Amino acid sequence: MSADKRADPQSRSSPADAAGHASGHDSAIDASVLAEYRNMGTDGADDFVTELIDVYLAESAACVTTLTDAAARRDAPGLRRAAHSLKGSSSAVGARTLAGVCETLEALAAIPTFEGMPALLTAIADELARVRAALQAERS
Amino acid sequence: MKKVLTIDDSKVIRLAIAQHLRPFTCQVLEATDGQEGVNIAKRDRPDLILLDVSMPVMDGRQALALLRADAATQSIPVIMLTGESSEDLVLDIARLGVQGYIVKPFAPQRFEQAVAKVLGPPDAGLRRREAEIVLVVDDSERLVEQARTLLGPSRKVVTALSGAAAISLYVDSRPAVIVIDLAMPDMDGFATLAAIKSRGGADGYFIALTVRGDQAAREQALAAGFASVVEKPFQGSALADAVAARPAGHSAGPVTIVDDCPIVTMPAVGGETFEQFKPQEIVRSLAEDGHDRLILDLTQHRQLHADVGTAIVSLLGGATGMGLRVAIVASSPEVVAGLKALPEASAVTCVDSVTAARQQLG
Repeated sequence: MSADKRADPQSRSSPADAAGHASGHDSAIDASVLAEYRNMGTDGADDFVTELIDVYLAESAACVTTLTDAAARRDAPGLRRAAHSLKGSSSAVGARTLAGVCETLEALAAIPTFEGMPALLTAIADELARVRAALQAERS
Repeated sequence: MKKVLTIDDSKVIRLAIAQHLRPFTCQVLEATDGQEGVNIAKRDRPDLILLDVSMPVMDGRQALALLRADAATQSIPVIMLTGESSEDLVLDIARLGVQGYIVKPFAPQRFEQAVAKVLGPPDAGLRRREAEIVLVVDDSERLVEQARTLLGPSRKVVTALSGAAAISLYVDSRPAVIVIDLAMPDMDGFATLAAIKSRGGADGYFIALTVRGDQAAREQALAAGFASVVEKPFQGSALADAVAARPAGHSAGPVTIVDDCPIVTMPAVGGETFEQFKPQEIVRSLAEDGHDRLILDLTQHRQLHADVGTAIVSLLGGATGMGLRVAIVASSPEVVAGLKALPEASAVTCVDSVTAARQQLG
């Protein structure tokens, strides 16, 4: 049976792995997640997807600010909460790679350790930029 | 109207939940942390609370303890939402006395099932539809892309630029509708139709593409077994209308035999097809027909729903009893991970295409 690394949190144990994964060439969002919302048998499903994307764009930006501030203060509980939050909302729009990097950061903050944190924050910022571009394309 | 309270610090998640709740025609109340949620619960007495575990100010566990300690809220059903699926956490949640839990990101079917246990079944007319797979075969790249756009995001469109490519794509994607250009070089539309029909597509829903005004081709197509004919260049919604004209009950059935190897397609949960899916009967009938192997196709599934897991276990049990070897085809990482966690399925070969499954079974 072939295992998919994204399905196994153990395979993402090092920050370097997570950063490497984030800069890979797989698409930033799983388009089938948004397609599934569009496919719901309700009126205004397209409007809903547009609203979901807009809310995500605003919420993710706020989360990254919180993450950066918490890292600067070496506030592990704050980092963990913000990473958890970004992981959840990213999953909801199909941004699986970003959700995976957030999960790694959340796990490190739970230990807590700050080792590898700058690289992870950079990976999150880079991946979020890819996600934002992909969502903007879905929106238009 | 019933009331559902969603307590989650992420607006994205609250929005997604509200959308998933629409088939239940209920009033949705929202709170951004446990404390606010407890206050709203006391004031509005919702019929169901969807409670996130991890939140700032007051987390889900603390909120649940307060809800259970107050006579006004202690009997309100609560379903916990969690970003983690670790066994410890699940047991922890179970001990808190909740009606259920949903791991985020949640599969729509799992969400619907958990909520329906408390609120009753959703309005059938508002239920989500499974994405319909449409295979479009034409030697013009421009035309297949045009068809993709015309058929819209609610359908999953797969495309092939030749009859030969269409045949392997048909076997791997098992589309509900097959749209074929009649005039293609090498293998024309009629030959492609015949080849797909002989490879398990006998009951497929086929639409022919012809050039404008070719009345002879139209009649020949309908006689050959195409359900309808659409003219090129496409006019307005003609293509989408022809695809939408497929009768709702049209189904090729769960079993197709391709080159003497049965492929069993697991239907989506929640529909009539799933209710009529009888794994034991399917296996018995295949064994009686002399088959010694089968491919179980799970490619339509993005998550391993509990009911699908049960059907898989039943099918595998039957296959073992009847001496049939099984290979599973799954493309979603969630399904592959779910299968690994099923003791009955962990030893079964799992690959990502029907072609690979056939090689495995020999």
